[in-house]
Amino acid sequence: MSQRRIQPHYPTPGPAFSYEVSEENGQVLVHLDSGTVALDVAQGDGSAGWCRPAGGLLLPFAYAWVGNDLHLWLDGDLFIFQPAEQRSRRRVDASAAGGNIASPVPGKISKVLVQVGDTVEADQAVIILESMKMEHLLKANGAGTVVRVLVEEGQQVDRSGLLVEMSMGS
Amino acid sequence: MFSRVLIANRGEIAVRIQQTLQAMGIATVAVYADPDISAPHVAMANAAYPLHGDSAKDTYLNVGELLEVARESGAEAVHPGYGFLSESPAFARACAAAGLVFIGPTPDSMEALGDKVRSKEIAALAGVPTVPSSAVLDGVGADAQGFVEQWGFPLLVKAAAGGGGRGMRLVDGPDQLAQALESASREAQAAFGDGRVFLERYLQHPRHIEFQILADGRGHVIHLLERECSIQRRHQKLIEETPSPAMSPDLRRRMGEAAVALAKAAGYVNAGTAEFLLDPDTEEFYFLEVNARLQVEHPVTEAILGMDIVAWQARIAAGEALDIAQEDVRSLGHAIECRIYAEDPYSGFLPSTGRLLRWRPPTGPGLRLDSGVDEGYDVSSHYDALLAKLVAWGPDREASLKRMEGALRRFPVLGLVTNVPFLRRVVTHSGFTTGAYNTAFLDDNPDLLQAPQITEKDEVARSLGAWATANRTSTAARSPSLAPVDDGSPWRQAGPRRLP
Repeated sequence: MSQRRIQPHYPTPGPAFSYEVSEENGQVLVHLDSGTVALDVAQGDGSAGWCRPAGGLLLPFAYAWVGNDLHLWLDGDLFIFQPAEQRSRRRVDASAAGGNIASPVPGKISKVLVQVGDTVEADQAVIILESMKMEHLLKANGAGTVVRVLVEEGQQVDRSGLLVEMSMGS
Repeated sequence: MFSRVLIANRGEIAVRIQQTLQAMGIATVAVYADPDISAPHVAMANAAYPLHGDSAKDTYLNVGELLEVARESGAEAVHPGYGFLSESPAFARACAAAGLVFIGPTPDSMEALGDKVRSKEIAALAGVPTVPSSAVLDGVGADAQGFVEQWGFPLLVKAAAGGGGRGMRLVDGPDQLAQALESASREAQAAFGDGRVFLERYLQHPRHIEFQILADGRGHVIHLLERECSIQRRHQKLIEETPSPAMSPDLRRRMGEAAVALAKAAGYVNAGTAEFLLDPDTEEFYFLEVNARLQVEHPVTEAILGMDIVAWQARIAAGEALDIAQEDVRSLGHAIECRIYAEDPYSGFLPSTGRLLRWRPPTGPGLRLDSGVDEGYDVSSHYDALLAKLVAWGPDREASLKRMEGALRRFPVLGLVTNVPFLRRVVTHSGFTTGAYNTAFLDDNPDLLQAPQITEKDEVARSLGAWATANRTSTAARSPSLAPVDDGSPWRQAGPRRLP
């Protein structure tokens, strides 16, 4: 069995971890760096059921794949995992790499607050985005200079769409 | 009573209104913009008409189109819900001119009370204390400067029309004022088609308490007790409960009388809500505004009174008398509502979009869900992020809170991030369960806005995540050569089965 890695993304982003999965006497054994977790697992319609950690209480779960992200609902809480190699690739793709400003959600540009050549400080508002009938301030994540503004007011943007290209450092 | 009513709205409130109307034997007519074609409010309607266009202005705010639908469908009345055109006197007048009954207040009283500035003048006439505020402003002119000199910062910029936290900005200092005015005005223009804004003194740490009002067209006005709405984020309510933990019988009587006096002074008709800020230490209260419409949080009132406010809206609009005396308004138990939003509390409440791959609301005694979505529904960025409202009733506050906690725990949602797990953290937080909270609750408890600390459950989650990922990988790898295992089980035998 080959070692695989996934990375916790939500609610608390964490480092990728390796795992191996095996089955023994009807129990699922998940081998993590921190030790082996033994679970009784029962699945109903293919993506929902319950599990019981050794000596613990029964916990209902359900999961679904959203693209390559695993959304796992466990006893009232949502967890999102990403296969580790996919996450690192995505980071390179992400238009928000460096100090660039990307849209965290689909929406409409209400206002562009900077121009090419402007120097901005960390946490300075750069774009006002309207999504779900609310305005959201998108802020610079560090000090830098505006290299390119790729959107104009009134324009619809997709999630992760690059809005403002920045050159970081003062 | 009407035989057919147009609901000029969408989402959970369009569903909730139709539930009552249909139970009264009234046929419902829904409207929908393109993204809503598969929405529950359309599917349940007796007739549905498309509204063409990309923006709310072309669709749910399009008076001409809506009146055309009313005419074509043969509707006799229009229920506007909340938001959109619900507090537009122009729409109410246009309905009347087209021979339609507008299920809501008269345009005149809506104009007087729905306008946040004029409503304060009415409150003053009725002897109700108000929060100091400026006239409607056109930028940072003399009016704004005068108000700032008198009251200082922090202060609030508020939209003269509408509510729901839209077009509202907290301003800490003079350098933020111009941008706040501009941004609030733009948001108000987009949300309500009215960009007028004004300044209001900002009270630190008040409680937000409101009283539901019912008034018939014959001068009879009652209040339906209070709702506690202090748990807010971005000036929008998140959790409401009734009775309020801050309320004494004497205070309830005084505030209720003030709400009724206000409604009478404005000649108000139909359902409305008087909002107050309360200083819990001194029991001093200030009138804030009247929401001249059905409120999002009306179900908690219905839960403790056993009443249907939407049914009363229709009956009053149809000319019936409100045959309930104030002393007959008696509550039973306690109710709490949690607003379920498609948003991530751990990244500044940014909205989240996507398909609801799983949506399994809890059911059981004392639970109610008002929902505008269903499993499979695509949550888009076009509209408000409110997906549904979960309401729990119990014989007392502790029981209703416990019921809510359990219901939030048994509510799997997959496909996008919602605030359901966060709501459970709030309703179990000691700052909430003690009842001694105010509108600064989330500012005072910033730990709630941080993703929860690592717990034992995280290890189970990581293990299950690994297991599900391994399953997916191995299934995908095996599938091309997946062969049925013949162990004699009828379920394992390959090929489609057909009943003889």
